[in-house]
Amino acid sequence: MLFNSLTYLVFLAGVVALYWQLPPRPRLWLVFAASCVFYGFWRLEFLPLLLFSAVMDYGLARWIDATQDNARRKRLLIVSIVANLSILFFFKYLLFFRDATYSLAALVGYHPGFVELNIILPLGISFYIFATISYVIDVYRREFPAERDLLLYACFVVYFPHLVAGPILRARSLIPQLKERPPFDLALVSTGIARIVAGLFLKVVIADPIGALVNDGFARAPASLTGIDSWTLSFLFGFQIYFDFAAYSHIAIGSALLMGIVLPENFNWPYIAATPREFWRRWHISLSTWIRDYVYLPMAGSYRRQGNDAIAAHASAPQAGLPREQRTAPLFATWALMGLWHGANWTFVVWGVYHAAIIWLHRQAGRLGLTVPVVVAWAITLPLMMAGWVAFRSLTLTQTLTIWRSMVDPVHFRGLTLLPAAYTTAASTFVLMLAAAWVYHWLMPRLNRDGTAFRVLALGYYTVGFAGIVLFLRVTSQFIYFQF
Amino acid sequence: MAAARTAGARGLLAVQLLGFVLALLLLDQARRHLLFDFNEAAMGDFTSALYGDAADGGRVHCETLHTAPCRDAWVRAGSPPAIFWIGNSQLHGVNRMHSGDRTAIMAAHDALRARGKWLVGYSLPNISMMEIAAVVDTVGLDYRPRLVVIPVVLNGLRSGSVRDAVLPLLRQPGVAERLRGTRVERSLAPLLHDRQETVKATSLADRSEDRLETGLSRVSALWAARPDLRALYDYGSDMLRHRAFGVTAQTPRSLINPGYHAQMALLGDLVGDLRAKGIDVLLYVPPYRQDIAGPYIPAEYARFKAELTALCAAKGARCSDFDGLVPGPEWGLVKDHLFGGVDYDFMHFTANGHAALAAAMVAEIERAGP
Repeated sequence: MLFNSLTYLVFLAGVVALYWQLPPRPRLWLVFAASCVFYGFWRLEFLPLLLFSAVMDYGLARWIDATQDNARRKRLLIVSIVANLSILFFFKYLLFFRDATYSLAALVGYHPGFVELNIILPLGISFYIFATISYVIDVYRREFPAERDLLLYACFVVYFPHLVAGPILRARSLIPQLKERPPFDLALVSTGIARIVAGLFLKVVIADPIGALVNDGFARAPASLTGIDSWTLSFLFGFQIYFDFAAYSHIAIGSALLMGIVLPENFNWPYIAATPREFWRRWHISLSTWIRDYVYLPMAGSYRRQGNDAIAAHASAPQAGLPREQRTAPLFATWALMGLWHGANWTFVVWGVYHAAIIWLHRQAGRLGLTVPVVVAWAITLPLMMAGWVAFRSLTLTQTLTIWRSMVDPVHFRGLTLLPAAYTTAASTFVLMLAAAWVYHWLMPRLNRDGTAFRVLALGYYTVGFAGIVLFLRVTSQFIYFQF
Repeated sequence: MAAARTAGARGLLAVQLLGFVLALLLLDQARRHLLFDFNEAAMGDFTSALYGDAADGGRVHCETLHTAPCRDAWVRAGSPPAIFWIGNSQLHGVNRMHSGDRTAIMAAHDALRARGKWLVGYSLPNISMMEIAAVVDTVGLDYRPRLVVIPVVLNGLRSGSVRDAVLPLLRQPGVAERLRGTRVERSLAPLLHDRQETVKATSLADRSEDRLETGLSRVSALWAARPDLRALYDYGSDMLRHRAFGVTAQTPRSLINPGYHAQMALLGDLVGDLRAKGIDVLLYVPPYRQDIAGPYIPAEYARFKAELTALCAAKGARCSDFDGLVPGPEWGLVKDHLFGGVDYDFMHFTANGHAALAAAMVAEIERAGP
């Protein structure tokens, strides 16, 4: 079921109305059943895979929790991780690695027979597999006790607001909330509605129309794009993916709030970041922290560091196990994996390595003592982040490299070949985004929330918001992160 | 504290509810007072779209995305030797249309039918060269044509995209195989397969959404008017942008060299592939209003014509120049329906213009002798 559909709004209203009428245990059953219905609306046949993954990790985590022998605990952990990654590998990466193997074989003159495979990627597989892996690792690390109630644990895995595109939840942030019976709170409900309105508006009014311009631009022959076109496209896609994914997170968080459950934030105005490190503290926070805690820090020799920084923050972590100069390899390896998590294509690996390189360069600049004013740092960071999206959106490495070349080659800067709306949309979105940041960070804190000015501003916002949603609400596209 | 929190939440809910009601009222006012016929806006004032039949019956001019009627007529006629003509809205737009008017495609079909030839035409507004290649390689080759006729519109060479509506043509069974090894494959290959395969059109969600959408449209005039209101929003955005930047139909639009060269190369590949299959190709420069200054820059327009002639010579295609064929009074106007005012239309002309184009085309086809 897609958040940007009438079906979801009707479904959510029904579930929330019933949720508040039920006592705790039936309420859990309702959450579980509703989540299965939510997932089954896409494809019922992949529901058993989701439930199998949940039940397997439930059993293994309890086994690990009950075992005192450390070697055995470690073996069980490895079994869980291998099983989960095997599922992910089969559905997401098998075709990619098969093609890569064939290409390598062809290089040495061997041409094996081509087996036709049609593997459909189960919706949200990367998200729920990561959620269950983190749960088992937390249990192994004795940071969270294994949950004994299978229904409660299953609700953590399948809870529909976060199921298909996050935020990637840790068991410790959701299971206690599901276990307790949260009292009905009107403030959470009104905030939930506000988050859903914001999310739907971002998706259907802003991200989807931008997506049409992005699709048009990336469907063109990359060699035909001028430098201005390429920069415009990179900014447009940067806006599209941000508004699209932030929209999903808003609706997920808002939907959970209607049930009295608080999910962690996933975005915090990433495009006002003045450094790459800050960007990754503001972008897809749940994935950044997941990768940091379960991939980067173990690679760098320490997983015990706590805090909310993203991976980039840990390069200079004093308690990390490896010496500073030896942390470059884990940084690049982690980012390559981060890229590959997004999709089985070399373009995603290049995207990850690109960000590793940016972070590494920023770190080197810091060590040299180079500092610039915040506005200058922002003006450097933003285009670098936007340029990275070219690799993320391109279908092939050739397309990525051709567009990147045109972005830096002065010879390619003459002319505009995209649809006229592409340039005006990019420019107006940029200005509106800065204006929104100003309103949110500067104006709103200065207004009295019970005052007339605030209410008039809020009324204007909701009128425009609802008008946009009523006008544009339709399923023209899925959320971008559904494909991951 | 809790009471203040609840009161604040109540206030926010009231504002949200009021915002929702105001939004509905605003949209309903727009529906009642601002909507107009968008076909008129797209085609220019007094210009109408016309797809039609041959004089002796049977559809011979089709919308590009609705291919069956033309193909059925051709099969019913015994699948005679075909001439496939594909172009933009100039082929189906008739300015100041009267009953009985015919497009150039329909008139040319009638003239050629008497000589044992079957001309069939497809047109799509603002068709790009990639879309032409896509349609020729999917729909066109089904007719086993002896001659393919393509207008090469200089303004059309600015766009190198394929719209979502055309993609289903490329994703028909067998199309990827048919294109394998051809020169246009490298341009169209990324479009042959959908990258995002996780949502299928046949899911329960699609069916549920259809039912809800239909149900709401039945009970609410506002909901039913949403597609038109969205078109109004898009139209208004375009007009606002034109106003803001002072763009008119006569504003010179210079060539974008990388895009232009890529589209011309694709045209060359398309012609080369067709010639390799033994199919003749006729490229022509379409009629262009000559009595007033237009958006083309004369030096660039002349260079384009010279390069098109060179392409024809290199690839073994025939070339014709029809740009002065239709006199000024036969061209139309475009009206700004939202902010007022009219502008010149450099693309669409009257039935007289269509008759002139048909006569010139028939003569050219006769010379080509397929």
